Amino acid sequence: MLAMNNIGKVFTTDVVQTHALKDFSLKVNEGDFLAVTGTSGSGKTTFLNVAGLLETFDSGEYTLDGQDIQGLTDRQRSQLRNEKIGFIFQSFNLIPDLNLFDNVDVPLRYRGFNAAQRKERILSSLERVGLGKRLKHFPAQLSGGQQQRVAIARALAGSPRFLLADEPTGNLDTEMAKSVMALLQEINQSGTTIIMVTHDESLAQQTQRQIVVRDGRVCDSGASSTSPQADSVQRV
Amino acid sequence: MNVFLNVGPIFRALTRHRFSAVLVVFQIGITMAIITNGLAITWDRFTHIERHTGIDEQYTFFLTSSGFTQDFNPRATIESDLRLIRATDGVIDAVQTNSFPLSDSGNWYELQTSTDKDAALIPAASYKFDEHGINTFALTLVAGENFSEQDTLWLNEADSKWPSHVLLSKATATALYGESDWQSAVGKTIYVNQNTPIVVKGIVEQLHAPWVEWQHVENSIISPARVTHNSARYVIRTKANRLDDLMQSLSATLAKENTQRVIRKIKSIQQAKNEIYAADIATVSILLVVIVVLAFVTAMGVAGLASFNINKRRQQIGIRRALGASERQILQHFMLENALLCAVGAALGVLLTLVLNIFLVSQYALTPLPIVYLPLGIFTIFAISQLAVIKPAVRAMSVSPAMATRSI
Repeated sequence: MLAMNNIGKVFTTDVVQTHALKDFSLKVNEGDFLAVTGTSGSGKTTFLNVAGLLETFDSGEYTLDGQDIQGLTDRQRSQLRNEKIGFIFQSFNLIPDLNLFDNVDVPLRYRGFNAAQRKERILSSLERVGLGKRLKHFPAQLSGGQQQRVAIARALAGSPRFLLADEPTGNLDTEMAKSVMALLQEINQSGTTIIMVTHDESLAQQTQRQIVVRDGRVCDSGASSTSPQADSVQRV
Repeated sequence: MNVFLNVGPIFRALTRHRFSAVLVVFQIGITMAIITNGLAITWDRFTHIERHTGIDEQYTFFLTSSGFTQDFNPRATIESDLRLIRATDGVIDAVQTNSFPLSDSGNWYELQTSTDKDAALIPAASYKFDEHGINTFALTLVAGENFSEQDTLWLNEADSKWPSHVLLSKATATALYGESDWQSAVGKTIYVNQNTPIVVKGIVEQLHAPWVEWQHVENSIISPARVTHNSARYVIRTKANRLDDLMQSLSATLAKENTQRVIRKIKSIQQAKNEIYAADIATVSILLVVIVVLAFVTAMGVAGLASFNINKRRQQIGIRRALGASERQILQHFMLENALLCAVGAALGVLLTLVLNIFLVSQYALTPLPIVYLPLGIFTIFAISQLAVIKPAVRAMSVSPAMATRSI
């Protein structure tokens, strides 16, 4: 479903070249819940950006849902991102000037759904995260946990095949983090593939599979120790 | 995706930043009011300056011969001067006249179709010149015929006698006999100052009065006469590109020909026109500068605010990109946002334009704003505003979707 083979990504400034990803190879199957861990600067976010088509890559091969990503135009990449990928960010990234209804509506408008389709999807996804009665509220009127739920609702509204989460509980307290994690597991169980970047080892262990990124490479890969399938972490 | 579907959320988001939105709206509204009224005044003055007087303005000049000795013979001098001028190479024709369009001096009479006291009085500027006038001024005879040499009278300055035949401008004939019947004026008797009967011999297409601001500037009457006076004014039409050299050589020749007079006030019609319209030309120039400066300042204001808003919302743009907006959709978003502000500003602008125009009309007796200027003003302000926002919007378009995952 998502296959990266020897992906390379280099950031170049006037004085230095940084190899953010080097020979990065990974395969994610449909229905996986993958945790990506690693220290700061290891390349986790770059991987997420490349996987989510937010950034291009310099070398290697990447296929998403059977489609070769290399050579796509901005419009094709945007369309693919809109249709197949949902994003959850550490700082929620809701648009502060829009109410919850309009926030969830943003990707649906880019998708070209009609008004009735959009309304149905917005209401159902906000209901799913327990905020169906707060459509007219603005992000600033919600707690951090609630804002992250809205972000999840926005990510789910377009029925994406992949959910990419960048430290989704990083700005939440323990209780809220637990409830968001429970929501992600529920979403995964309903068939959505989730790739979650996190620093939190305990969260990573709640997923089916975990990879560790170091110096732009996948250095450890295996089933998470607390997941039902877990029995070891294998070195590649 | 239909870009206009986004109007709702963009408008709702704008209402969350009322202060900056209101500032832009007022700037656009005030600019539109000034630009629209300025354009209307400029065009009004421009068309006023550029309107056709009926004569060849490009290759015509005039000069005055002023006799200063006791035994100076005006009539003999005029006859001899006209013979000399008309025979000069490069001269098309010449007349001695009491006045001409753009000269700002002359007199006018009231004309009637009958002596009945209730008959309408039509004011008309009076010109006196001989049968060469039609050719000299390049007038177009549209009905009847020109004077003959025998029609021309010699009049003294104080002489109130009228010749038996006259020519009218078409506008005068129309004022006397109506839009559909102006040609019927030929052969009819009209009355000058309610008592002097004269017969209309012909009608010329157009011949303006000497005074550019006169309400009845299109009305004129031509008598076949030469006025003997120590100061005689000659109007001379030259062939193309001979104007400048003939202005110099003819004045020198005339001065040499008769030393009992001086030749003065040598000017082309174009020079006279520039002088008479100097204030209008200055007004138009100043207004154009004001319009351009104001349009530039407004464009800078709109571009500045758009740049500020875009810089402030870089991460938001990144989020939109991450959620599936293409570069083009980001461009459209900011263009539409600006267009919405401009639409509200233009609505305010229409109101302010009318208020300003009512004030200008009441205070400075300007003509009311023709309604066509409102859509023109709206189009202009939209064009200025949308052009101003293109550069910032293109910058917004280049924000990477990866901006969404960066912490600011």
